[in-house]
Amino acid sequence: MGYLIAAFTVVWVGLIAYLGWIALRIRGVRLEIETTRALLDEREPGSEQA
Amino acid sequence: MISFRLSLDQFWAIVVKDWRAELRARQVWVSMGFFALLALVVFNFAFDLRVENKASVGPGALWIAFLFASVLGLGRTLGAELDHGSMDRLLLCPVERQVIYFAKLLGNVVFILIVQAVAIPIFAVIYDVPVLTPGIIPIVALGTLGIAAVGTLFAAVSAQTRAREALAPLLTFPLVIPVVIAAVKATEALVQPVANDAPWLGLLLAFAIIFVSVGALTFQYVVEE
Amino acid sequence: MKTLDQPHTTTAATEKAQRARWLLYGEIALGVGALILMPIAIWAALAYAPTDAVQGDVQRIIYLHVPLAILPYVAFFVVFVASILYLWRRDQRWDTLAYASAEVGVVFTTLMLVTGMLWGQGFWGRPWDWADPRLTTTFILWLIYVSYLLLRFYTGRSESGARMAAVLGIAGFIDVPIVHFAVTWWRSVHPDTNYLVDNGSSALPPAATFALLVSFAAFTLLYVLLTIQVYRSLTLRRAALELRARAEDAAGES
Repeated sequence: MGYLIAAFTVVWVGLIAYLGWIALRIRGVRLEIETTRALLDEREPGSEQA
Repeated sequence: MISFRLSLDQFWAIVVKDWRAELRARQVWVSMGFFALLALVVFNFAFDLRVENKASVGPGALWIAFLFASVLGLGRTLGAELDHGSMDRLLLCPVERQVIYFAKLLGNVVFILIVQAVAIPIFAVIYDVPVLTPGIIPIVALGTLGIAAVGTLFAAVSAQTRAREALAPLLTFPLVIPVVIAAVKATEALVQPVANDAPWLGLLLAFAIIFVSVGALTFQYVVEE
Repeated sequence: MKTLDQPHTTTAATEKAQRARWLLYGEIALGVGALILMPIAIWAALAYAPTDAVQGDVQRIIYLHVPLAILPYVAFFVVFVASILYLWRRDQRWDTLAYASAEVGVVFTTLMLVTGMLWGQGFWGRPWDWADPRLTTTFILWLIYVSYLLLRFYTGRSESGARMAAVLGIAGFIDVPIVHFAVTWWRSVHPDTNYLVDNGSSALPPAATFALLVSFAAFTLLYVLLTIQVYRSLTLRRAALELRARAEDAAGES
């Protein structure tokens, strides 16, 4: 039945896609943190906390 | 005992203060009442009500009108207070937050009940639904209490957000759906008694008690600072 | 002073590193577990479980729909508890957990509604049925927690936003039994056609039970995994914002 396939596809592909989207979000934010850290290091070398 | 007496005094003080402000701003009354009336009229046309289905659709139309008008009017003192900083001053006084909540709640409930007192007879006439019996009073009172309990709480919440009063109905409506269900069903039962029906009035009472309790207990966290 | 402090800080540091490592192992285990269980769950649902005599193959959606119907309640219970703990302890982490669990919960609830509609359309030819109390209740639940996410959106990362969301998280969950009673009674004590047919009153055949349990386990693992990921993304975003604020301050000074 078409609906059966549709349901399984939507659910599993959807959840994996959602997981992937969050992973991308995390990677993007991590990149932003790295660049901001580098920027801070330039301006205030040594005054930054871990 | 002394602190209870003090709380009671503070309670009435806030209620009276809000009422004075309310009586001065007469346009809120008029617009709320007119809005309820308009809603009822529009429903009549939207559902093309005839004699047969008026009894079944009527109660629903009535409570939708009440729900929308209520949420319109619920933020009435809270929004202005937060704007003018009067809420902050009130919070500086040693008032229990629950007292503030109950005072706001009572003010809102009475306000809405007055509008309803006008709307219900009009509804009974133009919809030709015999709701003008004493039995309608507990239904309307408890239903309004339930809706207002949630509405007052989230009017305070939304007034502090970027979206201001616009967010209040979005937060309130989903939570009060059960109250609307029970109120409509109870009103229907009043007009057309059904055998083996659920105890809608009892449910309304339970819902009102629960919502008021939750509101009273959590209001302090909403108006902190 | 220094010699007294040093052994202290190293044990604290190693403890922290050890805990982080165990958490990492745990997360990897979760991921691997989910990776293993998913195909098994799909296979069990589509092939291993017996075909329903009455509804045919469409009934297999039940192996998606039932776990997806239960997990939102778990998720929103977590929101409830985390909200209470946040208001009590004021620890940012509880607030983040509440937010994360709410987001994942809404995703699962959406999927529950979608599978319900596909099932309804596939078997009854009707995607929606207000007479089904479970569908209606879940829909209202969906509305409540979408409004929670809306509130989060309009309050940003402020402390007041966290407090208010916590209040909604508590009120929303308390509303759950209320909604349940109202809706169940609304559709009369004896609902007529409930298309969430529990395969007859007798017990499920063992293959079906197995499929259901494996599916449930797979979805639960996914819920935990997803919540952890969203939690992490929220925490990182907060850290990024703080860093950016500091960078802007530094730029302003120079």
